[in-house]
Amino acid sequence: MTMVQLFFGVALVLILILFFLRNIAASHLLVFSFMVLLGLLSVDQYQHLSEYRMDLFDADSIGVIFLFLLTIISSFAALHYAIYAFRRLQDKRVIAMHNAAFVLFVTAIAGAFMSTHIGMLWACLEASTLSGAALIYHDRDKLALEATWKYLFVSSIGVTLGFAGIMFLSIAANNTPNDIADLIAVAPDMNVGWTKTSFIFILAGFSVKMGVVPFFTIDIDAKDSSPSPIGAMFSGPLMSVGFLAIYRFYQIFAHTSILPWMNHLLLVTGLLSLFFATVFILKTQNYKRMLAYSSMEHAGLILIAFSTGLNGYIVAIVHLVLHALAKSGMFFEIGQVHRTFNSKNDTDCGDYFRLRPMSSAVILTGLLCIIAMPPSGLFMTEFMLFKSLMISGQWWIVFIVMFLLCFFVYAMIRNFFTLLFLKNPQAQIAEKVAGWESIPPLLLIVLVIWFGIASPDILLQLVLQAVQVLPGASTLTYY
Amino acid sequence: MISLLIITFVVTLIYLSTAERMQSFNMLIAAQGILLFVITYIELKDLDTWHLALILLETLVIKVLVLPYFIYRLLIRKHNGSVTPLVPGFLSLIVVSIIIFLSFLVSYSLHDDQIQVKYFTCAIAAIFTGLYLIIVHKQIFTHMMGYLTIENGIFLLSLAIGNEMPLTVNLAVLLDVFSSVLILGIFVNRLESFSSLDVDQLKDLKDS
Repeated sequence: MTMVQLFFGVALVLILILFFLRNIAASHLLVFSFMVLLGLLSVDQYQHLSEYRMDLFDADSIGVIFLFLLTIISSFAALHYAIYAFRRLQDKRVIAMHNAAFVLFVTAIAGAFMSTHIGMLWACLEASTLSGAALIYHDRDKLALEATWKYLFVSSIGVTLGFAGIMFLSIAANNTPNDIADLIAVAPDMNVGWTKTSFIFILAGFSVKMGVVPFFTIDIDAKDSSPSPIGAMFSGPLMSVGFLAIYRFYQIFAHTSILPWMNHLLLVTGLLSLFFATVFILKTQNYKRMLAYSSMEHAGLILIAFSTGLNGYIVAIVHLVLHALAKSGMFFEIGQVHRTFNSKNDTDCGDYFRLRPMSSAVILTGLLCIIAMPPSGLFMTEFMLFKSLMISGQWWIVFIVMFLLCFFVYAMIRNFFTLLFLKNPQAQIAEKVAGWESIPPLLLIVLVIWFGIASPDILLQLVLQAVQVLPGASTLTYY
Repeated sequence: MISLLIITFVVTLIYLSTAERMQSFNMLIAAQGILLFVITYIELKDLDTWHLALILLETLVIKVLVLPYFIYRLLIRKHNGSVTPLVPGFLSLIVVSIIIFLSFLVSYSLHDDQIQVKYFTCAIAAIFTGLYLIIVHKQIFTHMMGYLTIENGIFLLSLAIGNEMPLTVNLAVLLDVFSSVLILGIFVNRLESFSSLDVDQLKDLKDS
């Protein structure tokens, strides 16, 4: 039995047990042991990177990077959820439901990262939608219900449109079996009209997962209404799944003549996402929604980086990884702010620095990271993004992006400084949150800074290997 | 024979555009399920047993028996009312007719050997009719019916292409589709406990 089979088998059994288990401590413990298994799976996939061992599930380099990312973020999310549930004295049934759905969600995402067949990729994406809905519905109130319904419905429609895209790809590929490697091999003979139709459907459909234009609104609502550990999962691993789904098709179509057209489409999508995120963040007063719009901004930047072609591929993937780490750290911290003031609106929060200096310091560092100030790793990638835009001669886009980013940085700094430093007589302290709870988010944010300073070879090597399948990438180096 | 079935399927689409009672929506979706079952049975007779069994399970058992019964129990029995679209039925009739006409035009102008034109026309018409239903109705119930219509369209699309996926993948896709409708139904039921089944009630999530 291979590790992959073991993983899925254990996951299946675990989901069933967790669903019926009413002992909370045991339930959390099982989730943690599942995280250990996920870590082992990631290591196993990394060690056997170049061998092909199984049909349907076998991670390539980009899959391995995202598997490690998933392991890190979901372990922290499980930890924070355990604290959250313990402090809020949550109903046992709610916790059981959440933990079962969480394991299913993580399994579906891991499956999507490993799948070598686009039908399987689709099935995993749909499974992540369904389990994600159960996670959003955690609080069982009216807002959660509204967010869940919208997420479930629009996401289902989106993923169904994605399936239509897969069908159009089948037409283009003359019914070659939908294995990604096989499809790449027949790509040069594909019909241009069908490949374009397919890519439009895929990009529109899977935008629900990545949180970019056109279906971004439900993603924002979902991150806002769910508990903050789930917001972190949606901003990190789920966004990577959306990116990976689009990337798999990009991989195939990059070997056809529509490559420049695809890059234009990605550029337009990225710019529009950046624009809408900027417009909306200026008026929101809710910290979780601000972080959600910031994720959308970064998703837009990732697509823009990717659209610049050879120079941008590595930048885009590294940016995605670093953003996921920084953003989940911020979500965990905002979860603590939410517990402290029992509100996530800036009208009910304030003077946080005096209340919890440790947590505030983490928020401040995280803020600097996500607005891409040095020494954040995101500064490096955004700098490289501008460089690759300039190399490809798109000066006017550099100006547009910088212009929009100015508003973005302004909005983020204004709102978070209000939270940290401004006295607010309406702020009521609902709960005293312990200082040590800020250590896990701090670790994530320090990781981002460390990436910025040290640029570890292992990550860059893996990214470089991952993009090798794209045409012309064999000339790339990461320095 | 196939042409007759396909035409009946298109007629159900036209009927869907003017239907106003919840029960007639449900019956139409079930009828589409039966049509899909017969079409697949005729079309895929020489497929191996497992695939055939799986596809028949999907169409006959799930689309015709389980889902309509489930929707009836959960939603219709409690408030069997009428759903009023935003635009008059007459106008919807014209729009859906135009959609069907355009689908014909598109699929006959493609000249692609890969696709079976009959199915392709019908599939495209179903997908866009589903989207149209979602746009012109305000009730959550009809949104779900629109989603099911899109699903049926996608099913026909895969038939038009004749693409075969491995059994595991088929099984996973089937499971997903089934549970998505089930979960959608459960949440519609929950929504009803808060307010009426109208999307206008769902606007509390906003930026400020």
